[in-house]
Amino acid sequence: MRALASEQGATAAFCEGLLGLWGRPLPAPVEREASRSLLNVLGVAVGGSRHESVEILLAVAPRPRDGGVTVPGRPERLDPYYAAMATGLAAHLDDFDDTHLETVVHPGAAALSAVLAVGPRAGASGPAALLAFALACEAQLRVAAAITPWNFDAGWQVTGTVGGIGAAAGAALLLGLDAEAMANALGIAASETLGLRVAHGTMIKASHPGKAAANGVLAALLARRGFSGPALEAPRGYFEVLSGEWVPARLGDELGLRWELSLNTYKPYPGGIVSHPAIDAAIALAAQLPDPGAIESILVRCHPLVLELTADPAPADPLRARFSTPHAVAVGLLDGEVGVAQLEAERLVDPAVVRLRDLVELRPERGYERDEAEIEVGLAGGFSRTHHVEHARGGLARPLSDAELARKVETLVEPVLPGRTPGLVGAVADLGGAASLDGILAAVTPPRADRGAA
Amino acid sequence: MSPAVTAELAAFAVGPLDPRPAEEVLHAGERTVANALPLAVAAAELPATRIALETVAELGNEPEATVLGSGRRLSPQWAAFVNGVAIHVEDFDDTHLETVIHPGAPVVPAALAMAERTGCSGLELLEAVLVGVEVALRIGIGVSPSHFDRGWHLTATTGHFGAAAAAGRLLGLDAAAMANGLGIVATQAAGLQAALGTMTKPFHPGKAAANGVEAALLAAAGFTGPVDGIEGRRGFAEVTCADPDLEAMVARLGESWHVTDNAFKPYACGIVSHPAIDAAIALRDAIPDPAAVAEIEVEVNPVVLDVMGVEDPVDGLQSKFSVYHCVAVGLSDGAAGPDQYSDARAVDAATRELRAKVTVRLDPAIARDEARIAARTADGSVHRRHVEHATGSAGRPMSDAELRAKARLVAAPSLGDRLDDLFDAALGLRRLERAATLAQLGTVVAAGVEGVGR
Repeated sequence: MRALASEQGATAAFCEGLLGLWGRPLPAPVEREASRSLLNVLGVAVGGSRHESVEILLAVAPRPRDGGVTVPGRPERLDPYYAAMATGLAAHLDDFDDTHLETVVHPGAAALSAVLAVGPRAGASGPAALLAFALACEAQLRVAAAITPWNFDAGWQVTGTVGGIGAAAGAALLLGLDAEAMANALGIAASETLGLRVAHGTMIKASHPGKAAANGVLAALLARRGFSGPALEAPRGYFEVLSGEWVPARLGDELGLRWELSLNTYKPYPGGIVSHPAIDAAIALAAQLPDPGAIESILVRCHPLVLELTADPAPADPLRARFSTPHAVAVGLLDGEVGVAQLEAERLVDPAVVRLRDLVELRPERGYERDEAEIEVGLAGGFSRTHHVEHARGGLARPLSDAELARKVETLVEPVLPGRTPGLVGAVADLGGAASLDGILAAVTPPRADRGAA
Repeated sequence: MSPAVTAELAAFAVGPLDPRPAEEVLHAGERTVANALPLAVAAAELPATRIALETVAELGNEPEATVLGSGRRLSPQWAAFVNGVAIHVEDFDDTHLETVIHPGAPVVPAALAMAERTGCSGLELLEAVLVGVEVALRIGIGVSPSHFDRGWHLTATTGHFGAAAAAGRLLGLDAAAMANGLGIVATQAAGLQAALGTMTKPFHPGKAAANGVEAALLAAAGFTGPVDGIEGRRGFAEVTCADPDLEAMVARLGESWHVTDNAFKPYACGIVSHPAIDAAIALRDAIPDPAAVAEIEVEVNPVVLDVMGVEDPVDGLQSKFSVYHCVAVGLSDGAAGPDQYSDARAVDAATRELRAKVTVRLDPAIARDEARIAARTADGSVHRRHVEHATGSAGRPMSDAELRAKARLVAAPSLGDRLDDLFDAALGLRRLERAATLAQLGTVVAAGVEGVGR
C-alpha cells in the first residue's frame, strides 16, 4: 500500500499541530481531565513501585553517575531511559491505570514516564509539564484512533504500539525540539514499537508502556542531536506495517479543538477493563446473597471481548489474575469488592474462590456493549438472582468523581508512602500554577531515611 | 501439534553444543566476527554513530563495556547499541542472502558486551555468536518471505532474538530463564523498512543488540516474558507473518547450521544490488570512459527495487539504496566502497548524469545473486555482461584474504597495523584466551600515547 497524496506529510503536519498547541493554555475541561489523568497515574505508579518486577528492573538498570532522575515511590534514582521504563512499568503493573475506551489505550503511563524523565532536567514549569503530559496523551490517542481497530485486531496491545510515539512527542516538546526534529523523533520511536498480546499476564506486558516511554525519550534525545527517522506514513512505515488501514483524519483533524484526552477514564478495579461491568454486577449481587456456599451456578453474559481477553479460568499468578473475569467475579461475589488485595496469590488458591471460579460460565452476547454485563447466579433449591449492569462504573457514562478518584489514589499511595496522599493530590491540583515539578516529585519521593537505606 | 519454538530455541541457545559444530561452522562464526569488528572501528566517526554515542553517553551511566573505535566505555546495553549502529551504518556488513538478515550487527556487539562483563574465553564468545546468529536466522527463515513483504526489517526484528540468545548464553541462563528472555524480546522485536535511507536503519541492529542484552539481564534476574512468545497466539510469528513455518525454526536444531550461508559484502551498499555492481564493473574493459555511455539497462530480481529504488539520492545514506547510483559508480570507478557512497559523491554532477541513464528491468526468473547488463555507447555499439553469482554470494564467497583486504580498506585508516591484530584475533577466535581482548584491539589509541604503527 502506497501512501495517498493526502496522507503525505501527515507526520510533519501532526508535529506542527502539536507545536502550535505548545505554550498555549489548555481549555478548562481538558486541563481538568489532564489533571485527573495525571493524579490517577501517579497513584498507580506509586502503588506499583514495590512490585517484584520493578525490583528486578532496578537491579538490572545501570547506575547513573550524575544523580539520575526520580522514579515515583522509589528511593533509587535512574538515568532518564531506565527511569521512564521503571515508572511506566510500575504505573501499568496493576492494570489499574487510565483507559481511553474506544482504543483501549492507557495513555497516562507512557506520558507520565516521559514527563518525569525529561521535565525536571529541562527546567519545565508546572504548566509546561502538565501541557506536555496532556499532549503526550493526546498524541498517543490520536495515533491510536487512526489505527483502530486494525492494529488491535492484528494482535497488538495498542498501548505499546502508540506509547513510544506519544512519549517522544512529550519529550520533544519539553526539550524544545522544532517540528523537523520532532518528526524525526516520532519516526525513530515508530520504528521500535512493541506490544504483542501474547505477553499478557507476564512482567514484560506490564512494561509495555514503560519501555515505550523509554524508547520515546531515547528517540527525542537522538533527534535533538540530529538523528533522522522515517515518517509514520511512509511506504513500509508505521501505519502501513502496524495497521494496514488507517484514517488520516483521526490523526490530525481538529487538533486542539477536539480532544481524545477528554474521553479518558479511570478504573475502579485493577485488571482488564472489559471485565469491569461483570465485576460491578458481582459486587451488586454480593449484597443480596446470604451465603456464597449456596451458589450452584454463575452465568456471566458479556461482550465477546471478555472471552477474547480475560477468560483465564484459573490464573496462575497475580499478574494473570488481572486478566481473569472468572476470578474477578468469584472474589467480587465473596468479598463485595475487587481491589489489589483480591488478586494476591493466596486468594488465587483460596478453596472458596476456586469453587466459585469453576462455576463461572462466560457467555458472549453479540448485542452487548463493552461496558455492559449481566450475572445470573443459581442458588441451592432452584432460586436465582440476576443483576444487569448497563454501564460499568468508571466508564464515560458513570465516571469516577474527583472524590472517588482521590480515594482510589489513597488506597494505592498509603501502603507505600504513608500520609502522602493529601500532598500528592494538592501538588497535582496546584501544578497549573507551579514553577516546577518539584511539588510532585517531593510528594512521590520516599523520606531521606528510606533513601539512605536503599 | 506445532513445536514449542521458544522453549526449543532457548534450550539450544544455552545448552552444550552437541554434536560439536563442524570446522566450517566455527570458521563461519569467526569470519562473522572478523568482518564485523573492523566495520565498527571504521564507522566510529560517522554522524549516526557519533550521535548515538553522545546521546547514550549523556545518560550518564557507569562505564563497563567498550565502544569500538573510540574506546569510550558505557553500560553493556549502550555499548552494544553504539557498536551495533556502527557495524551496520555503512551497509557493509554480513548478509544471510535467503532472508537478507545482517546477523553480525545485532549479535556480535551483544556478545562482546557480555564477554567483557563475564571475562569469558574466545571460544565461549564464538559459541555465543554462533547460537545467536543461528537463532536469528532460523526465526527469519520461518517468517520469510511474508514478514519482509509486510514491511518488517528482519535484521532488526530477528536480531532481537539473536542478541538475547548470545547474551543469555554468556550470562549462563538456564533454559527456562532463556525462554523468558526470548519472550521479553518477542514483544519488542520491531524495525520498519521505512527507515531505509535514514539513520534509524543502523539504529535498528543497535537497538536490537541493546534490547537483547537488557532482556538477558532481566531474565537472569527473574523477569518474566511469554515463554511461547514466538509461536503463541498473538505472538511474534502469528502477528508479523501470514504463514509462519514453525517447523523450519527448529528442524535439525544443533545439527545443521545456517551461519555457513552468511555472506560478506564486497560493496558498501544493500546486498541485492551487488550482482548489478559486478555486472557494471565487468563492463569497464569494454567501456573505459563512462561519459561514452548513452544508456544502460540492468535486469535484476524484483527484490532490488523493493529496497534499492531511490532514483536520485540526495546524500550518502540514500545512495546506498539506489541501484542506479550503484551501477553508475561501479562502471566509472570499478569500486563500491565507502568513498563511492559519501555525501559528496551522492550529488556529484557526473554521477547524477550517468545514473539518470540507468533503467532497471525486473525479472522474477533472475536469481537474487544474478544480473544482466546491457550498455549502449554514443557510437551505437552495445555491450552485454551476465553475472551468474555475485561476489560474496554463496556461489562465489569472499576468501579470508579478500575479507582481510576489505577490513584493511575500512579500518586501517584508523587502526593502522593493529587492524591485522584485530582481524587475526577474530579469525582465530576459538584460540583466544580472553574474548575481551577484541575490545582492546578494536580501540583506536591516540597517536603519541602508544605507537599506532608498531
